[in-house]
Amino acid sequence: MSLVNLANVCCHLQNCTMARLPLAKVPYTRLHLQIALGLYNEGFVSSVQRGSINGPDITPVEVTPDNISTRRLWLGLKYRNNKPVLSHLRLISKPNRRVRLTNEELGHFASGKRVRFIPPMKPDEVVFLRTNKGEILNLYEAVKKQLDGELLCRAS
Amino acid sequence: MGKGAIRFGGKSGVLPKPRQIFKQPYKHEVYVKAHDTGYADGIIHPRGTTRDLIRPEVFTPEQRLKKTAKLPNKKYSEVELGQMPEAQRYKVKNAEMRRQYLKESYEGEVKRLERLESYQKKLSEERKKIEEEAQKHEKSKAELYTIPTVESYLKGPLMKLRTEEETETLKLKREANRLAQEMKVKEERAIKLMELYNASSDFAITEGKLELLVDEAFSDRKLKEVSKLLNINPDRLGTLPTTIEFENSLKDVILGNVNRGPSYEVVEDTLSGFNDEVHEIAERGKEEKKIQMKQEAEEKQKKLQELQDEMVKDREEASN
Repeated sequence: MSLVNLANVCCHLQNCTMARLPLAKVPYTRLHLQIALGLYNEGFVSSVQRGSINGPDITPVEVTPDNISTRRLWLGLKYRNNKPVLSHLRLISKPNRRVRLTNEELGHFASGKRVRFIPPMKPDEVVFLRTNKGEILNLYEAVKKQLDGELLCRAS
Repeated sequence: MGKGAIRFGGKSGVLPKPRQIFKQPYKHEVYVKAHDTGYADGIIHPRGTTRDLIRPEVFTPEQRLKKTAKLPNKKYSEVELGQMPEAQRYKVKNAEMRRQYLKESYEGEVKRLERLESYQKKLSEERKKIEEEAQKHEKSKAELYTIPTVESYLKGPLMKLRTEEETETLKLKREANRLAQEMKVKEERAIKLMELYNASSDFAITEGKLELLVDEAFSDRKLKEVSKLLNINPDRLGTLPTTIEFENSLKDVILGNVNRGPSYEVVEDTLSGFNDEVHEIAERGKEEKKIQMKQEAEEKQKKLQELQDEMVKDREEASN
């Protein structure tokens, strides 16, 4: 899956939180769903719902080739003291500059050190990476499982 | 605003709204400060205002009675009342009666207010009960175990693919659509071609015909027609006699002609044999009618012959 779409989603979510919107819609793809669930598990978004371009589904709707173009993921955005919980969501790997790290490098990065050109992790940051099997994991999970992976994006 | 009945929209006999008897609270109540209201500790309040809310003063019905209709200082006995002049006795009794009625009305009001209060209390309790029950509501097992979780979407394919049958039907549908579209375009082209073909009979393709057409266009007859058209009064358009051109175009519409030649539809009907069929049916009808008329004529002839024979016979008999 191209990272261009993920970059668009990152940008869109940042724009939505800046506009203080309660819900944001992103295209319905496997990568976006995995990232959205990662954000949900880390507490950056309040809900993840499937839906159409018009809004979240009230009853589950089957995804078919006829309606795939109108399917969307609806994310509930969180705010605290009038400030967005998810204020930064940026790509680390770019479409033409992929960052694949070994488990050792991932360990260094997770411990707060600079790896190559990537700025070190801040305490409040969460990094998502894609393993060789195509799973989307949190950086710490990948380090625990001793996996290599491609760094996708960082959220804070 | 006006005066009198005008004040009430020109209606007389409008009763005033019933006023409250007790404007202040009639009984003591323990006020509980609502949560998150007023000034917090350490926060100063504006000068000239109070830190705590001033509650209205309680004025009980007893106090009210004491103030407005207190008992007389002296209570007269029956003997004393009997000795009094009538006017004074009436005054004393009237005052006593008024006091009594006022007391009764206060008691009635207190009863009404208490009834209202108990009703409100009951209502709020019931509402609270319904709310508590709603809070306890749990999802049914069917709901809990059948609604898919978002994580479950990641297990299988994100989209349900079309079955072979569905793909086949879709293919056929698209093919049919494409063919229908092509057919429509071809038909339109054929219609236009037919029009052009019919119109081509009027085209000037030789020098002689061109000269003929030019001469005709600038002939006296044509010029007269144009001047006639220019002089037409628009009010009398409906009463004008129909021109030959109009009649011709009407004929074309009825016969399905375009540019004085057969239209595409007529050609199509002829080629498909539809026109032949119609022609055949018409011919058949014509033949049948002819035979029928012939038979009728023969029968008439026969009858005439019989009549003639009878007349001849009668004459012969008469002469004999």
